[in-house]
Amino acid sequence: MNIRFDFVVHWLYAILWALLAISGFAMVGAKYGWILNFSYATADYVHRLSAGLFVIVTLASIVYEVWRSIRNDNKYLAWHVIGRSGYQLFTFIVTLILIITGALIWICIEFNMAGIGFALFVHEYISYIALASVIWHIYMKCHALTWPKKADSRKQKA
Amino acid sequence: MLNKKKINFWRLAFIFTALVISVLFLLWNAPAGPKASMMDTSMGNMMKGKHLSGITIYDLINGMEYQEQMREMHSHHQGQSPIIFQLSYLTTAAIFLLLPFIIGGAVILGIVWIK
Repeated sequence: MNIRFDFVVHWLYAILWALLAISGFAMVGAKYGWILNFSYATADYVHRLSAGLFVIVTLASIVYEVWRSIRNDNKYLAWHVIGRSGYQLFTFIVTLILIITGALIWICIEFNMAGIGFALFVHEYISYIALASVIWHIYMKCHALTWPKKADSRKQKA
Repeated sequence: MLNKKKINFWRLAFIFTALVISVLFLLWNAPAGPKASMMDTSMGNMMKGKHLSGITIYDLINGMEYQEQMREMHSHHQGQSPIIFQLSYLTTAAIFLLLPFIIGGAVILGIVWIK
């Protein structure tokens, strides 16, 4: 069985993004608090833990992409989360903004309310854009949700 | 007319809609009313309204005057279980140790991709 790095990273990224979105929107305010039954503490822990893993997965993708660049490997990887154009580039930029503003919220909570206000505002509104883009992405790529037919059954038909 | 190629998307959308309606139905009678009336806005908008009106770039960089106020706020959260604290340290360490590498890698990729 041939397991591709970009395929594994794509689905890890998708699971972590879903966890971050659910816990993040549950923390946005009372109007979305129902997502996790108004348990802001649970949302906070899930968001922190998922954020740590999300950063690790993002770094792994960046290292892989840099390694490909060093090897002059320009092959298009359809499943990869980051890339030089299209939705992959959009994902890369949005990921960087979310990680940097998320880290700013993390730092500024100790001493700077204005900093938190700025980072939180950007973090929240970028998340809405990212959520809309993910729905569009699923719509465009929904053929990938079809379970692949086994090679044997194809041979039998032939 | 419904595009047959996109049927999987609509199936997924139906499942999510059903999930959301179920959650809202189950929470219909939950004691969330008072909380919602107290904070019926998003956190980003609330922070913007409270702390970003008339703010300057200088305030974003130099916010040390809040330190005492924030320290007091955090002192109320000290009674949490050790696992939560360890988890918090671990995730904080992971994020802040890896962040420079992410930014560095992004800069390298930016240069390589533009070239």
